[in-house]
Amino acid sequence: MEKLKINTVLAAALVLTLGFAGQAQAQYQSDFQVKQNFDRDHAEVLEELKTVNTVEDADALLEEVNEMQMQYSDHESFLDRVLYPETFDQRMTNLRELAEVTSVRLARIGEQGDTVVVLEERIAELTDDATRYQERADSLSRELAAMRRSRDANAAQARRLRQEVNERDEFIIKMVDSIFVAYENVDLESLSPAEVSELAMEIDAQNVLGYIESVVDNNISFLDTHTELSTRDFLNLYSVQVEFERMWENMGRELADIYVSETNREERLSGIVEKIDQWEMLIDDAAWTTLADAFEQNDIDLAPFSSSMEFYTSLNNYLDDAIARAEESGGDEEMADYQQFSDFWFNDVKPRWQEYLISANLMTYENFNTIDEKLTEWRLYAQPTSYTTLIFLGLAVIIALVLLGLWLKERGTKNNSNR
Amino acid sequence: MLKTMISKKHLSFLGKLSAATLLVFTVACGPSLTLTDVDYAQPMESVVSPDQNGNVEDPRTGVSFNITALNVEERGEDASLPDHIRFIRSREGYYFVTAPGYSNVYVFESAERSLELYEIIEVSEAGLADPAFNQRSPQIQLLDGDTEYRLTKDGLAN
Repeated sequence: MEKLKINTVLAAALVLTLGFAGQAQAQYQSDFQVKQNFDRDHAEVLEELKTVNTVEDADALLEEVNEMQMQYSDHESFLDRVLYPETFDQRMTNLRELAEVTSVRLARIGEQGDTVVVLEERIAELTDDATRYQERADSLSRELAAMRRSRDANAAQARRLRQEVNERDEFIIKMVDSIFVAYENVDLESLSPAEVSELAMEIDAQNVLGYIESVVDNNISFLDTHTELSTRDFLNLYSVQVEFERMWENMGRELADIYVSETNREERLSGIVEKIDQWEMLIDDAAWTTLADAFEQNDIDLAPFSSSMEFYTSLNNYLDDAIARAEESGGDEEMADYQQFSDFWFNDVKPRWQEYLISANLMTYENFNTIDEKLTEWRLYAQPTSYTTLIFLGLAVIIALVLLGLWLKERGTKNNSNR
Repeated sequence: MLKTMISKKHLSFLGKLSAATLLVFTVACGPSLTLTDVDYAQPMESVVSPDQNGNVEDPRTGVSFNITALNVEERGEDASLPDHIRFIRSREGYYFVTAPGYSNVYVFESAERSLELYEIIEVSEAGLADPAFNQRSPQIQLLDGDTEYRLTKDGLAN
């Protein structure tokens, strides 16, 4: 019993000693140090809140904020004075609210199948590439400008530049496509205006509309500068323009809704549309001119055309006339015309241009099939009757006459025996 | 007639003299207004590093001064400046200044564009290792590790 008393007294003494020691420790704390520690802890929580990416971590931070409030509550009056015009309580309330909002936001992102997170990651992934391509585009623009001044610029050089510009254009179209697809998966309406703005700001660093506009500008500049390219090159450029316009029609308006402030949205949109129209006009002119030249150089006299419909009509009329002519008077001359057209069609047009004519929506596979069928028909009518055929025909007539003679003879024999 | 004239002259002079005397008294006394219950206490000490010329400035309070003379007093001529100094203003408006390595706390009262030494309080013969002031009105608390000193403008309070 006495031993128990001694132990109790010793324990009490220990508790008192520790208590006093703790108090002494608290007494001998520098206010300056308290403020430094508070600032450091506050900054640490804020920093962690910026990078936290799970609900559990956000909740743990909220708990940390509560502990921090308790830890510094003894210094509340002092902190109120040194944090003026803020107060200790305001600072802690702000941190707590921020932690709560972060936790809710992360929970919502989880519910949305992490689409926002995926989008952010995709954006980050594309940023480096976009910067790299932008730098290359700037250097290409300088080269293009230098070539415009130089009369010695040759087609090969232009083609090389064109290839590089193409790579960049394709990348940008893919990038915008990819970002947009990612956006389509995000339920933007479920995000707060601040969150939408945050996403827009992230992507704005890449200046999506700026990139889009630069694709158009570069192509206009290129077409203004280079007229020496081949028909295939121009048709290729045409298909790029068509693909670009398709992308713009699909998502231009929505991209502007996200990235351009309402005040100058319409102006920005109409500016880009105007440039795309100019680009289309330039490539349209260049493509039809070069295509007409190519047919002319191959002595194929098509009626003038300046649109896909006119081109197809012109081809059909040419072939219909040729077939009618061959049907009426086929022969060597008609066959030579056929051969001329056929060589050009099967050696140049189809293997080298068909792909681009179709991707640029200038012709369809059905159009090509129709032309092929008409060419077969033309060949049939155009080719002159050969000697071999005549010999075979003569032999067939002789055989028929022999068979007829044999049959008549046999019939005469039968009649005589019946009598 | 002359008597009358002198008398008028004297009266006029006396009048002017009285007016001048009143003016002198009025100017000498000036407007008199005193605000009371002023508390100059700085809630937290300032910790500032001197530049190469010995100038220190606390952007938070806006106070700046030169510590060269103080350092000469504490360490002698050609002594290097401390890494930082710490100061705090008491409720009465006195500045308490010290630095790591100093043996004393210097108490200054503010004057027109100057700080006048009021008292030197010796606290540690060996020099303070890691001093820190706390405002504990009406006293100033000086901590150095586990050692605590209570200071007033006139010296140690304990």
